[in-house]
Amino acid sequence: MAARKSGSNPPIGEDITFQRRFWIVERCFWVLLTGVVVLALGGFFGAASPTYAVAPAGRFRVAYERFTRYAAPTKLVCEFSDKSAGGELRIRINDAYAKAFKFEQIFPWPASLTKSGDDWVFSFSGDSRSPMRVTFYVKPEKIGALQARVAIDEAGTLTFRQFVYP
Amino acid sequence: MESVLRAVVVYTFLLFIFRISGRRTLSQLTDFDLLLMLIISEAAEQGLVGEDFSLTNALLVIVTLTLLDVFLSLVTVRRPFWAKIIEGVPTLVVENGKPLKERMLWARIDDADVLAAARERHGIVRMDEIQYAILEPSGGISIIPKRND
Repeated sequence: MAARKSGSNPPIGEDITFQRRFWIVERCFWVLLTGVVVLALGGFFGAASPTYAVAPAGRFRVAYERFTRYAAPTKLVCEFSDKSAGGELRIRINDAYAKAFKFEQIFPWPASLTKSGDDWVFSFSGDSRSPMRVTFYVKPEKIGALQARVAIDEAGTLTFRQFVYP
Repeated sequence: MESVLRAVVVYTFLLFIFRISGRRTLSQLTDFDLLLMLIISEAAEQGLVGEDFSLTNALLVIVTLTLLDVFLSLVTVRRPFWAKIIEGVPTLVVENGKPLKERMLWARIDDADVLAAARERHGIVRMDEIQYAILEPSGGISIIPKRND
């Protein structure tokens, strides 16, 4: 930056050294803010395409948002495909994870909800459950990292982490 | 508790955003800028009150914001360095009728902005009639005309 050659320096309280530094800092933050927008477009702050956790045998998977936001609607989709199975489907969700959410809607609606040890057990009845898809429409009520454990008795247990932004 | 924290975070964030977006943002409000301000205020409002639309929450947020503003004014009066950071400093952009182009470029103003301010306040239409033009911390441009004596 070229310095001003002429100048009678009017008494206006100018501090051009500070101002020049501030202009540079300003531009650095513009770059940073652009990065924030790019990250947001990439789903870093939530509402991106879902992440899947898949059980080893592939019969059970959960679609969830890796990043979500406090009190913003999100969903947890449990998909189970086992052609040979029938009868009742029980989805277990660990207590700490379940308590971090306000359950707005569950589709299909569970026949019963019981507590078993450290888990909440959502039971769904039906003659044929293959393939079956259960959607939990939820709103996070806790901020920070959440550790989820979702299980279907005979299909395995899935664990995954979610992060809830303030 | 949450209302106060929300107000502090939103206030600090808005202060930061408007400061780093530069003085131009608030200085020349066009119709679209005004619309943008309304949208920003709407977005900020949701962050401030969340889902709690109670009168108590609204009053708490208002009290917190007002107190923050008072606190900030105290800081800027007593701590000149922080005043520079929070409010900025005046910058000379025209001297003896000559635009200081490099400064104007950094400040994102051009000759037309300076001449507009000169026309509005002093009826001046030519750059060489201006002794000093100063970009103020508020974002406005002060014009000091040349003396004819």
